[in-house]
Amino acid sequence: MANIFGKIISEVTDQMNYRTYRQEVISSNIANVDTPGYKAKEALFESELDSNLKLATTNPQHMKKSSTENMYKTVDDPFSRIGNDSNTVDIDREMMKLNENQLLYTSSAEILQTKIEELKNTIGGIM
Amino acid sequence: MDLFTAMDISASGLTAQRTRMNVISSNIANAHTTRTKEGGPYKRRDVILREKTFEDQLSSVDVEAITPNPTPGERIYDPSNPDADGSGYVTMPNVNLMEEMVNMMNASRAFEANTIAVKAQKDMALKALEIGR
Repeated sequence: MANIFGKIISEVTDQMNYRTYRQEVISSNIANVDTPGYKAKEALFESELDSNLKLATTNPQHMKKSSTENMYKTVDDPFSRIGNDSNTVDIDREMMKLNENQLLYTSSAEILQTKIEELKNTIGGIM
Repeated sequence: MDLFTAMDISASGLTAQRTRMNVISSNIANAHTTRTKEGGPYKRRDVILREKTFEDQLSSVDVEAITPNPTPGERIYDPSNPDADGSGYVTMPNVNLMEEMVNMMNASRAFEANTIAVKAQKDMALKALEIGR
C-alpha cells in the first residue's frame, strides 16, 4: 500500500503499540513482586513467535491472521527464576526490561517524529 | 490499552506496598503491647497480597486480607509486671523486630520499584506527545 506515509510510519506505530503493551506487562510483574504464586509474564511480538507458531498457509483459501489482531502474545517469562514463595518475578530483570522498553519506545517515537518532520518539509517545499 | 493502564497497575503496587508498610509500622509500634481490645498480648498482623487479573493477561495487585498471626509469643519472667500470670511469666507479642525490619526494607524497595515504573510510563507518554510538534 503506497501512500505518502509509506511503510515505515505504520511499522513504527505497531512497534510503539507493542512497547506500550509490554510496559503494562512489566508493570504487572513489578506490582506483583510480593504476590505468592505469581508467574512473571513476558509480551512477545508476533514476528518473534512466527518461527514457532505460524499457521502454514499452503492454499490461498487458508485462514490468514488478521494484521491488526493478535500482534503480540503474553506468555510466562521463559527466563524467570522461582523463589521460595513460588513467585517467579526477578525484580532486577524487570527493572532492566523496564529501562530497555522505555528506551526503545523513545527511539521509535524519535523515528516517527523525524519521519513526520520530513513529510512536513516535503509538503512545505512543494507549496 | 494505553500507558494509563500501566500507571494504574503500578499504582495498585504502590497501594499494596504502602499497606504493608502501615501494617509493619503497627507491628513495630506494638512490639511490647501486652493488653489489647480482644484481650491478651498484641498479635502480629500479616498482609496477604493477591493477583487481580484483567484484560486477558495483565494483572494488578490487591490486598486480600490483613490477618493476625496465631503463633504464640515469647514468655518472659517478670513478676513485677501487672500482666504477669500466677507463676510470674508475661506473654509478649509474637513480633520479631528483626523480621519486621527485613519486611520493611523489602516493602520499601518494592515501593521504589513501582515509583520508577510510574516515572518510566510518564516519560514515555510525554515523549509520545512530542510527536508531530
